Amino acid sequence: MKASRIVISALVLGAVILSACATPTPIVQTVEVQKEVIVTQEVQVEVAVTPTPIGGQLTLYACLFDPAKLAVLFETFKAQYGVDVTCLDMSSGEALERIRAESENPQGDVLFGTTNLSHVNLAADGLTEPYKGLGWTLLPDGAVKDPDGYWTGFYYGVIGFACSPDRLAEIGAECPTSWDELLDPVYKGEIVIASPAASGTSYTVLSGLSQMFGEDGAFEWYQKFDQNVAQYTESGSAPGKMAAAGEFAVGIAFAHDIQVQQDNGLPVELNFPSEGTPFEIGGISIIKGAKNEAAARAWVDYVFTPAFQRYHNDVAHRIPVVAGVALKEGTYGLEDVKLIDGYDPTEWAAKRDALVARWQQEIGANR
Amino acid sequence: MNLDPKARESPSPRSPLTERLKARLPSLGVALLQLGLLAFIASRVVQFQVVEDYREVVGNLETVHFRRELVGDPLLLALIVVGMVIPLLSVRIRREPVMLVAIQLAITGLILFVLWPLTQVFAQGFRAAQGAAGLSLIQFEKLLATPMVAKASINTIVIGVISAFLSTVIGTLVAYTLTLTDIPWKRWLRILVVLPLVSPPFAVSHAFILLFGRRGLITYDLLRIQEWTIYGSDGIVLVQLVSDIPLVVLILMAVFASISRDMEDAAEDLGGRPFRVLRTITFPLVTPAILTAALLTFISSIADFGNPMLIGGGFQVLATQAYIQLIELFDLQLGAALAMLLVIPALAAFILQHWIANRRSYVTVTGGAHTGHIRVLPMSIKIPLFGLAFAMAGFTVLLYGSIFVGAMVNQWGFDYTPTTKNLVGLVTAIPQLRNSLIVSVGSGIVGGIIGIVMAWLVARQRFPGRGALDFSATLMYAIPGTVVGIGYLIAFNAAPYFWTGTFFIIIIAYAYRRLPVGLRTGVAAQKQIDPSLEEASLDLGASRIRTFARITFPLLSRAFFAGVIYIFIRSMTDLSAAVFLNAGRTQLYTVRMFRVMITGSPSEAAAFAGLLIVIIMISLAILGRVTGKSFVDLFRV
Repeated sequence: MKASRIVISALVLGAVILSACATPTPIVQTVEVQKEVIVTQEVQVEVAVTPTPIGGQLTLYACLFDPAKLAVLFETFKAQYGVDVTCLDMSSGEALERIRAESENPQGDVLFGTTNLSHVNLAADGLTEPYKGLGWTLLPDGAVKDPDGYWTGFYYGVIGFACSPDRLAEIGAECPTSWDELLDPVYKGEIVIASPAASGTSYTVLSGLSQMFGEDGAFEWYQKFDQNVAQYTESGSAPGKMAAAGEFAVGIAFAHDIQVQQDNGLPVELNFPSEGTPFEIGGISIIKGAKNEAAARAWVDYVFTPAFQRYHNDVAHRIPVVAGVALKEGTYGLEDVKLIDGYDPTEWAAKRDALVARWQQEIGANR
Repeated sequence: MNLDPKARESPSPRSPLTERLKARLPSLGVALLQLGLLAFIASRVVQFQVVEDYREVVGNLETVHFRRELVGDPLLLALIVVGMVIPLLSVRIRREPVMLVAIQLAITGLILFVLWPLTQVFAQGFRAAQGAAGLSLIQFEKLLATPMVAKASINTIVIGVISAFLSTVIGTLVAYTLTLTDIPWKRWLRILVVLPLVSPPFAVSHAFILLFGRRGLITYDLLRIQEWTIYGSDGIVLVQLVSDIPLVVLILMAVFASISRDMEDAAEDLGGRPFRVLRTITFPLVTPAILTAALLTFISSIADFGNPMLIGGGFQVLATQAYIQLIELFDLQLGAALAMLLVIPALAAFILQHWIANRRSYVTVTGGAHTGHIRVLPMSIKIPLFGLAFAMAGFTVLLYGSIFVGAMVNQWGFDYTPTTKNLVGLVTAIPQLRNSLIVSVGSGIVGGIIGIVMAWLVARQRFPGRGALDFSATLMYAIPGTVVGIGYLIAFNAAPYFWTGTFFIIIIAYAYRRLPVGLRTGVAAQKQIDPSLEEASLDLGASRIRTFARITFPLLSRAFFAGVIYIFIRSMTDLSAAVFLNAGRTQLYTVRMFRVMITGSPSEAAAFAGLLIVIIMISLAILGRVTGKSFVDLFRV
């Protein structure tokens, strides 16, 4: 990482003074925002001119990433709209519970990030507001957005294998490149994955495999795989961390969580399964009764600008949904991984109870 | 308050009507006071709001009709009214208006800030689904049908009993060693033994993995152990011991320091051998405090979900099951039902503790002159005791050493080159740190005061509903922070109590959540104090309030400060309730720190944990200055 100076020059059209008889006279203001931030690579962020700054506060829920590292995005947004952005740290589940508990008097404006299943749940409970903004119009119909505009997907998260080179050397194995290789007895007691009963990440794997191999096929695979699993964790990102720390040879987690460990300077390899990889769609939606709805809408649009998509990928490693965003050299994009054909996370979410119950019975109960 | 008694005794030549009125004046005053208090509380709980009713358009004239609507919870108000009436049933309490109000406020506080938010969550356990109408037992049927729940329940009890037993035994022995023996470096040992309180429990788990994990510095790099793993039930117990033993030591040091030497002297004079004296005189004297410590550690152990999740390696307990249902699976109803199961063992432990503690009376402080003397012990007892104390202190050094060294090296586990790069990010956390300090100082003071007043009410006063008051105060301790946080959000985020997002609500939540420690320490300390001291004051004509201020409080001041410090530290290090209660302007440090632990490197995480520890130590030093005690004295209780 190197610290680079990003100078964002923004032209902001100030408040429009309306007089009774004259035509509105726009005041042109030049704002120079100088920020010293830590970024992975120099990014030139161009800020568009907007005729009406919105102002006020905007509270984003579920900052899944250290907000200090996203600060440049908040600064750019502020330069453009005059809105102070706060991103509150919590896990996606905590954000969901919080939005529901606060429904009578919402404290948050936008549910930012987290898997689209959270957004589906919120929409079903009537806790979000539909908005068909820039992103919604931009994206093709299908799994990445809600047909009624309750949520819009803005990134993909794909499953990868985290490998500890040290640990692999000790057991004399290579970093696996396919689901099939994971069944090799050489990995016995060396694989960590979250429990599908506790973690959405792990359910993504189970449902993805069910899509690919059929449900029975997936359980057949899991029976063998279970022999190699050292531990089913509660947290979805823990396996990546454990492999990065060299505790276990292989951890199965979202690739972006594994890459964050690489950024931290930990020795961890990342491989994608060759047969196909399950994925999540990270969504965004506006919380019903948001205090600053104008700013919320502006933020939802902002998230789909190329500058945001690129920077978000640079630091948080989520894959952009917007086509044609040039990624950093060496970064994998959607075209570099093989997604499972016909896999729709939303569709599989409906089958969760039954699938997890079967997993508990056939795999979990034997532990 | 009371009128001058002489005025009542000497009959005046005035008309019988004014005389009768005058005789009634005190109770009239009480009645007015009661009405005023009730009116004030009622106006906080329910309010009328003017809302638009309908609009009428006649021609080009639009008329807007408004109506008044009651907002708030009438049920809550009814509960509080009942709570306020109960102490009125006792004639003795009615006679002392200040005490009456103290009891009523204590009850109101507990109803408002403990029972009400918990009811909000627990009520969900009786719903079939989110927003479903009517009551249903379907969630409990689901629990019965799940084998995992039975397994988790047994695990919870087993872990709770083992944790509570071990931490109470070890903590008691260490507290004894550190107060009543001539162990060298006592000052430093005391600090080191109590210090693990200062770090958030999840940082302890983290340090444990760094030291004893599969790639731990000690287990892997030094000892080359391959087979043993920290993940599992052993790990959970070990980590809980680290955070529970200091609490036991803190409670028991206060008591050991205040027990009188006289009885032991007498026993020794009668020919009792040292070990026999220890077993039959010293330890029975501190039984109430030991039971208190056992109760608190048991309850905190069963409510802990963070450690089992981090270090349990799939080992299921009720608290993690409740967390998973609530947070991962978004099932508030099933999660609430699971959280309710935690109340059962807590209640059982509470009743058991009361039953044992109330069977006998163990009074030792009579005048308090002859306390804190060093006991002469034979080597056979001394060596194991000293060894235990040194081992505990050494463990703290190891644990904190790993955090501070971890913060100052390039990459823990891989590259131990010294660096300051991990400290750079700390600058961005200053606002959160400030907020955490505001909240923790506030809740320390509020919780300390409520705790000591309630301890006095519970231990010394007789009034209807005393046991219920005592248990409700302890209840919150047994509930995982997540449930508390959600309960507060549901309860206090609607008209007329728009309290979420404020410092006020976080302070209150923490004060009440950690209240049991202040309360129980206060009660245990009171059981040590001979009631004759207070009775003497009462006999000499002082009111109960004056007696409390002049006699009871000074004798309890150690317990009071222990409560304040404990609540302060626990508020600084809490995570689970903070996630729900902090908002844009009240973001808390631990929440940020936890995010760094997940997305940052182990060394970055260590830097955040290290800063928190340093800040707490500095705060304690300042607190020491303010209260006129030295840093070490603060820990001496």
